[in-house]
Amino acid sequence: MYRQENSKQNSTGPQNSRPSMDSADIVIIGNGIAGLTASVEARRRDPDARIVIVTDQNHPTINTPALKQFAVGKVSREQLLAYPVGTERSNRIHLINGHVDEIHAQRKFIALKGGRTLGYGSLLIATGSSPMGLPANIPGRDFDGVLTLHRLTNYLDLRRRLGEVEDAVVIGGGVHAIETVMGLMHCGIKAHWLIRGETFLGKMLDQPASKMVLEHVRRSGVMVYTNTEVVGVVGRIGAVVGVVTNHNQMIPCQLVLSCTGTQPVSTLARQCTVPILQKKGIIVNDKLRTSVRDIYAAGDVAALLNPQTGEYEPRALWYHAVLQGRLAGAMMTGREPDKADPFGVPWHATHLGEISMLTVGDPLNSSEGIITLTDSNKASYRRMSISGDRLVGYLALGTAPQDSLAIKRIIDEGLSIRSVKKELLKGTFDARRYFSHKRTHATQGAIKTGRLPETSLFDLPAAPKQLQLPAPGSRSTQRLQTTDALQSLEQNDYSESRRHTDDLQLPQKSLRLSPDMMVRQRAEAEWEGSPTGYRLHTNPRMVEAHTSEYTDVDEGEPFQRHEGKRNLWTYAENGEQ
Amino acid sequence: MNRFQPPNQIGNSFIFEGGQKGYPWIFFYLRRSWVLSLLATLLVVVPTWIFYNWYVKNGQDPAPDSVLGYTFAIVGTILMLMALVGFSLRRRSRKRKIGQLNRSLNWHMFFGMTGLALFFMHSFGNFNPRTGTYALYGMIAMVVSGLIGRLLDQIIPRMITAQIDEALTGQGDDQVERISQQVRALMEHNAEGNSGFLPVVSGTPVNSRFIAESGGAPWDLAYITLEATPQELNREASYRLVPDRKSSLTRPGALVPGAEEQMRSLQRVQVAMRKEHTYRYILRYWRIFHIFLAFTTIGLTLWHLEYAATLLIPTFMH
Amino acid sequence: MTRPVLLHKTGPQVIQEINACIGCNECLLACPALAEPITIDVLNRETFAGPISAPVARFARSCYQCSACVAPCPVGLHRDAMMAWLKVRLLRGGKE
Repeated sequence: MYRQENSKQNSTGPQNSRPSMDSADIVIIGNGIAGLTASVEARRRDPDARIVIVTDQNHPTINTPALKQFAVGKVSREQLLAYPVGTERSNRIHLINGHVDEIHAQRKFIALKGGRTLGYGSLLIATGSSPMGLPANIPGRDFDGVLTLHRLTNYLDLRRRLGEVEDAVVIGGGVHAIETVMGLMHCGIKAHWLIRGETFLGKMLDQPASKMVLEHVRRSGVMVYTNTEVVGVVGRIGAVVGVVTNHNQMIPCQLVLSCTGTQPVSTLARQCTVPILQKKGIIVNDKLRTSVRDIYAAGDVAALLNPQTGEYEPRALWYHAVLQGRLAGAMMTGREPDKADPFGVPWHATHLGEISMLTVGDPLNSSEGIITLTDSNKASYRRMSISGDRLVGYLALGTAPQDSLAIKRIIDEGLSIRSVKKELLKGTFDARRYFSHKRTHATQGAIKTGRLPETSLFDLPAAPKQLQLPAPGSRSTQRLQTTDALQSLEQNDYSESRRHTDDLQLPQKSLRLSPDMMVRQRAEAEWEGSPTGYRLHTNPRMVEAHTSEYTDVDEGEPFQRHEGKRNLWTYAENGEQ
Repeated sequence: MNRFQPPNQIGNSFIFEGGQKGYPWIFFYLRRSWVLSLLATLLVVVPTWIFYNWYVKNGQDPAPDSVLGYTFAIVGTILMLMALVGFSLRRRSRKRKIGQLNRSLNWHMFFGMTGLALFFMHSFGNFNPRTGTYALYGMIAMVVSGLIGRLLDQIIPRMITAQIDEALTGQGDDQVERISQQVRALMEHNAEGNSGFLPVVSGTPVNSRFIAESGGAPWDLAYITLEATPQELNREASYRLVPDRKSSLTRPGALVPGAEEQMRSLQRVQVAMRKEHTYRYILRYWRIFHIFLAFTTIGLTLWHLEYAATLLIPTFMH
Repeated sequence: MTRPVLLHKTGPQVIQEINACIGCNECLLACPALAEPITIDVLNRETFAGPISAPVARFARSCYQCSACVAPCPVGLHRDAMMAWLKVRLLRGGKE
């Protein structure tokens, strides 16, 4: 039970020297976006619970990604707030400013600095991440003018200094670094960008993509130094005057900004009487439960299972923090959401200067069975990883932004991208029309022919979803698969004119089919004209609808009319790698 | 205001307690920048018009190529140029506040209409010479297309919204998906009892045993389905089945009772989406049209200027 | 002019996009129809669910779906689709 007994005597909960201990049903540590979203969601689901947020942040929750806009003055402090003013008050969410020293998991209370204690029914650890900053052994890192950019105070400091700076050094090889660099250029400050590695964003971008981005950044006037590290910071009478690199070069500057990445703040996991399992962050299951009863974790600090790599790792991105917060809020009120939004594959989209970058899933995957397609021209670059006819990873760089969530949906739900491969590759994909057209024609065809779609009879309990590389199937995924399998009727808009059958393979198929094979067949081929027993009575006859008029039911045999091309993935013409 | 409403699902969000409702076809919001630009237009045009009338009656030389005529032309051109570039420059500028583009748009309209008024006055009623008249026509077309564009920008989004309303369910989900689910349910319902010989699907050799044990069971596929296997020759190419006009087979969906209605609603949704697509294209292309007219006007104006230069240069050459 | 003309998005898709919004305000800065200051958190909150305040309602009606807000978005979201959703809610609210 998540509800805490509020009784002052007889409390089976925490026994303390104080007879009456403050307690709450739901206690949330941290008021980042995960924490606040969780509290708002918990209030939404349970109007009566006592909800408390404990935080050592002295300001309300802000839109952290907007800090880069704040740094260059595009937004004001008021516009940074993540929720409308007074949200906590109107939702009766109590806020305590304090630092949590310890969690007593068996007796279910937390100990704050200063001796105060707070009992809990459910606890959410949403302590976020902390910046790595400059390595501790770098001399001169405490000169005035050396900033680590992470929190609002850092950005307020930065904003104040911008007017008096001409040269600035930015250290880091990730998205944060490039955003800072471009922001500085925007303000007219000469930026020197030091990247330790060979490429930029080594884990997300491949060589050509990184080169493209760095070229663009160089053209904007930034000095980019790859394979370069800071060896020491030089100052004079307490203020920074420059940095010395590992190439024995001294770069004069008045500001040193380190954007060297973050790590989860999982100290509380160690400061718990029952140690909470943690490795690169607090390990949680897909419902955000930690290894200790009634304790949850969400946000940058939570390490979830990445279905594509099998590792537990944090997803320190805004979107994930929001979703996790919402899920945690639901879980803590004891109501597991019936239709849980699966988190799906990791994705990240941002502007790198004038270039829009989108990466979804795992586009750098080059293992067995994964085919990579790339398309590039002077101003853009796209890379797709495909397994079978499913998209597994997508990377796009260019001036035109992509429909990020639609592509994520395609990967998450494992939809066949047969008919839109070219659009995806060129970047002109319209998701709404695509899905709607597919379903429309599928349904029309089903009605016209009077036959059920192929897969409807095959939602067998035994059929495993083996080909689902990304997230586990949810109900919505299943639904989509069935209607999706009623493929099409390729609209004239989508220029793929390939039809195919598996006919040529038929003689090899035996009558005995395991569910595995069925799934694979269903996944691989759209039209299986196999005479095997299970298929016979459900063979959907999809009449080609070049017009939307109704055609005679008995008109010809669709299969014979199809061009017998078996393999769609004739990658040779697309520059297969 | 902003008392937090706890909706249980998206559906409840349509309860507007104290919130705004409704989407009228025509609406107008008085904004400061609109008032300012209107005042600016009037402040420029009205006194100039009065002066123009006085000059025509009492002035020495009411003609487009008089000093006053040139003044009108030059000021008009400056205004037109500001209309041309003002908005675009503002759009590209980095230091922008929220709402600044809207203000720029209002000033763009002011510049355009004032410029047009001044060009009218520059012509001094001489609509005969070709180039000038055409340039003026071009300008009129451009300004009128801009005004019509504003009207379209009010009405067409409202039409688009009506179509989106059709294409989405009350909960905001895709109608097409809902309909296809219903169709599936219908068909499953209809398929029950039709399966007949349904072979057991499993990995074990049950299949063959089952088939063997049913002993004497027919091997003609037609007992199960009319579906031809793909390798069969297409004998039907030689004849066509022409169903009796009164036969129910001519109606689509005849084999699935209850599907007619679904088909109709599906069509309605398709039509709605097509309409929405068309309306969006109208919006997009009207903008392009307006810009096209602007370029045409520039061209015609240059032509007119060239003509004017041929008149002027001889006089200056003296 | 080269960007594709995209259709609307369904309610759940709009909700998903609102969840992903990082509040950077680029879309509001790029909007030629927005004439009064609106904070993005209020806009997101009201697009999501609940009653619609007057400034947001005026903005929603004034929006003419020019899609200028899509290109500046760093995350690749579609503010025009979210505004279309707001419009639909306004329309439906008025019909009741």
